[in-house]
Amino acid sequence: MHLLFKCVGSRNIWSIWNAYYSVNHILDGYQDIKEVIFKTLKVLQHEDASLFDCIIWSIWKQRNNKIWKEVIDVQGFVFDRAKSLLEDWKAARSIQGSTVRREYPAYNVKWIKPRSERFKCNIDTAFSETENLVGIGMCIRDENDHFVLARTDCFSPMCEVHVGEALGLLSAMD
Amino acid sequence: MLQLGTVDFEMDAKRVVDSINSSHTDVTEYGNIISNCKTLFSQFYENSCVEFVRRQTNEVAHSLAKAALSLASFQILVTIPNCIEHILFNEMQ
Repeated sequence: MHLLFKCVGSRNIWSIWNAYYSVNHILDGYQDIKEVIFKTLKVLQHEDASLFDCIIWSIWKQRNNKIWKEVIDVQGFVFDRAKSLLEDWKAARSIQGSTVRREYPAYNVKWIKPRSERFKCNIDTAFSETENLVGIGMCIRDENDHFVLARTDCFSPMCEVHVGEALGLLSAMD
Repeated sequence: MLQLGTVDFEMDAKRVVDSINSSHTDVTEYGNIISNCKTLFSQFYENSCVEFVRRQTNEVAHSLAKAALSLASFQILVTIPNCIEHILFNEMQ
């Protein structure tokens, strides 16, 4: 909620958009981010609603760029990117008769084996709200990327995500 | 305790990795777990590191954690469990 709507940077981005003035009162009426988004979508015209979604996406993208790539997107750019995303989408949809071809970006995010004479231990935590459980998984592989050992552990009750993840690490080290 | 050589840890929880690598301490439950990890780390994993990785590279552990939710108790698996067999295979280099 803070990130998308209340943060000063995000408010500046929203203020660039004229249609926002007709809906910004919704922000004050609701606490829950889901409610804010869906109430806003109901009020807006089709075209504005599409742009609203794109702006949210673009703000989230700004956040990801900052965290993962250490790139800072200026606020005007964030708004323009939302607009061009929508325009590109519409342009792509309007091309008739063309075959749909999907291209995936050449992302090279792959697990990398440990350096020589070392082992690597991957750790993760999963949460089940319905069963009130936290699951911990870890797997050790060697320098030849061969499986050495895996461990699972499970406990109740549920806890906050960062607490659960920290317990995962503790369990792996212990 | 793992009776192995040097082990490096990888996880996709950025907050935890940042906490481990920072000298900041706090008295919350979370802070307490982190300081326990740091103690173990300094005693047994002197030459190791705890690194942040993207979720996409941590799929093996993710699948095991999900599987752990339906396993009644703590388990040590010395043969490759079914749920991660295909991921391990894909990640072979």
